[in-house]
Amino acid sequence: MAVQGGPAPILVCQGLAKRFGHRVAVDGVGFHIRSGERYGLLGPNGAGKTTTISMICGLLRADRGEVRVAGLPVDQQATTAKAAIGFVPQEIALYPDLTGRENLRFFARLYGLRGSRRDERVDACLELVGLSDRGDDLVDKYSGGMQRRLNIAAGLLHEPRLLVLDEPTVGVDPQSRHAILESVEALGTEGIAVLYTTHYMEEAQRLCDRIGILDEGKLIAEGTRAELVALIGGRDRVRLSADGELLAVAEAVAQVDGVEQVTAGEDGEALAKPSPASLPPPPGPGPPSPAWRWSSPTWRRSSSI
Amino acid sequence: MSLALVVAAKDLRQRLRDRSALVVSIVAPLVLAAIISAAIGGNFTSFRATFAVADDDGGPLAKAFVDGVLRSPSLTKVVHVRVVSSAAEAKRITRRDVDAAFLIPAGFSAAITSAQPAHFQVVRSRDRLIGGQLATSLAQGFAARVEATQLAVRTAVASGARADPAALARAATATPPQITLNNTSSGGRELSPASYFGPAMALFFLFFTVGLGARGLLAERGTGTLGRLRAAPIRGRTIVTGKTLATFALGMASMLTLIVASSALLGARWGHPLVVLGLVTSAVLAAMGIIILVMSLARTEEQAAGYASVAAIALALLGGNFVPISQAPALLRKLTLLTPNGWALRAFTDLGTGARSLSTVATAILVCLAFAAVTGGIGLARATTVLAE
Repeated sequence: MAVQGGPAPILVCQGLAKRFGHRVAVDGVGFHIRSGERYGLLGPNGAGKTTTISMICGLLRADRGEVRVAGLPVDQQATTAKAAIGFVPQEIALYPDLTGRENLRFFARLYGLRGSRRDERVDACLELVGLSDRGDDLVDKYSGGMQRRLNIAAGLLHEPRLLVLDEPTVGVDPQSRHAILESVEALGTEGIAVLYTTHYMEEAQRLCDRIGILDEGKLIAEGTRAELVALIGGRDRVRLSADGELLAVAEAVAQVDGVEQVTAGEDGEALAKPSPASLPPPPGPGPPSPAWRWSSPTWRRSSSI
Repeated sequence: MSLALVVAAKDLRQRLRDRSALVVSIVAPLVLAAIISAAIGGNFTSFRATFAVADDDGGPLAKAFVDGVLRSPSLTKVVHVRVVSSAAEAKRITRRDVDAAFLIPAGFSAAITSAQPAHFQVVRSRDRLIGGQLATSLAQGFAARVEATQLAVRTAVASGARADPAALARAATATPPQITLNNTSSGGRELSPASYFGPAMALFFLFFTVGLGARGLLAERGTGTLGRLRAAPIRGRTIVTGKTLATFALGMASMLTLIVASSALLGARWGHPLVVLGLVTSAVLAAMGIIILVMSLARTEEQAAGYASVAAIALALLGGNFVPISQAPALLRKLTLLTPNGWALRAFTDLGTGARSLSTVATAILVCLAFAAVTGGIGLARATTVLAE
């Protein structure tokens, strides 16, 4: 795959293929991710997302194709290339009989961090995922959401150039899910390349600069969110929360450029169908009329139609 | 090596937090060794039997049997004689208190000295088989000597000797046997039960202890951390080395703690510290090799635990960890040589009796190391392959 324009990509996958017996799990998948870019690998269960990630992280040997991270080929023995990757597996990969801090110190040591540098990174990562005050508790005592957050922190310790997250929000409560998504959103601003797999369209749209759609082991579409919408067609359904007179809200939203239709629901939310090409900016904060005010002055995408 | 030590330290920290590891490694073997030693009591290498004697005869030959045979100097450490007033009482106490009873009827001596058939009865306890067998053997031996004496007397009389036949018979039967029993152990010091069952239980539970460590790789797979380890910039053989080091440290710590504890609490004798250290090290390596091989056949942690338990119990039964090797049948004594724990236990037994010769210990160490090399080599190769899958 020739990568043209822009900074050199951190991750380049070319023609990746993997077969388990007679079943083809991944078939000729290729894509690249640049520094600071968030790339979503979207697909239903069994599409080949985890197999692709396993080959990228050197857990599985590809039958065909090549993975390069920071210009170095990745295979099971490629310790230098692996050092550039932060891996957050789908299941919670932590030691329940160690404390959160002990878990992070151990994984940090595996990535070559020592002494005060290691302690600094452990503290920073605990703070990033909001577990500073629970760092000395056994992981066994954590809630599921807290374990998920620590799971992510363990992948960030060594400040990887590429962070690979395999469906990190599976099975978590809405509050923890929100915290995880916010953490991932913040990563892009730190220049880390992120590869994020999910089967939730909403997550991919919210987090990712580019999305690859994987189905039955093949990458069937790839591009920015707008490019994919243009490619596939359809519209976004947007849910807005507001307090006050909802009919007034609906009228105000209907005036926004690109909105086709607005429905005011009984639950204090307005449902809008913006145009397919691009979402308009959200209505500005603050009450535009005395009759109502936004309780959430941002577009929250409900689904694509 | 540095990263292997990091993995080992993490594993040890986990094991030390696991109370079941403490129970399996130290508490259980110590308690079992104490219970078995107490149950056997005293000194289990020197056998003791109590015989009741009801002497309704009171004649010289009955006295010769009691004083000359049962109370002979060679049997004083083995046989305790309890004289009772009647045959009925002798039979009664045989049911619960003594190993066997000798019932010597009136006229016994007279019958023998007059060359008439004579009888006396041995009543054996149903529960004390070895004591009963000893009583029968002693009675048979005495009867054989009486017959021989009667034959000698008849021969002397027939050849025209001028002696009193009764005096000849008394003199002949009162002669002590020419062969005496000197009951001692090979090292010159008798082996206490604690000195046998201390090492026996330590070796038995050693398999479970190293099993706790060796299961680490499968446990990592179960918790999902194996994937994270494999994604880290660390080679598979480094992970395996780290886990092997932790398992070795756990096994050594368990054995050395048991040695100190059984010496202090049970009075077990282990022998020279350096020799014991060499033997313990080789035994730990052998146990690790076998358990790693067995566990490499398992796909899950539960399977591995099951396989390791079966292997540990089978090896303990064959190796004499439950029954003293010296009291086992000949076939079982040979089978112990197929097990590293059997070899190690023989060597510990030698050391416990204060044996000066180190040949048994050296052989045991070499055999254990050979077990470790073969089984551990195959097991570690399989474990590394599992990591690469």
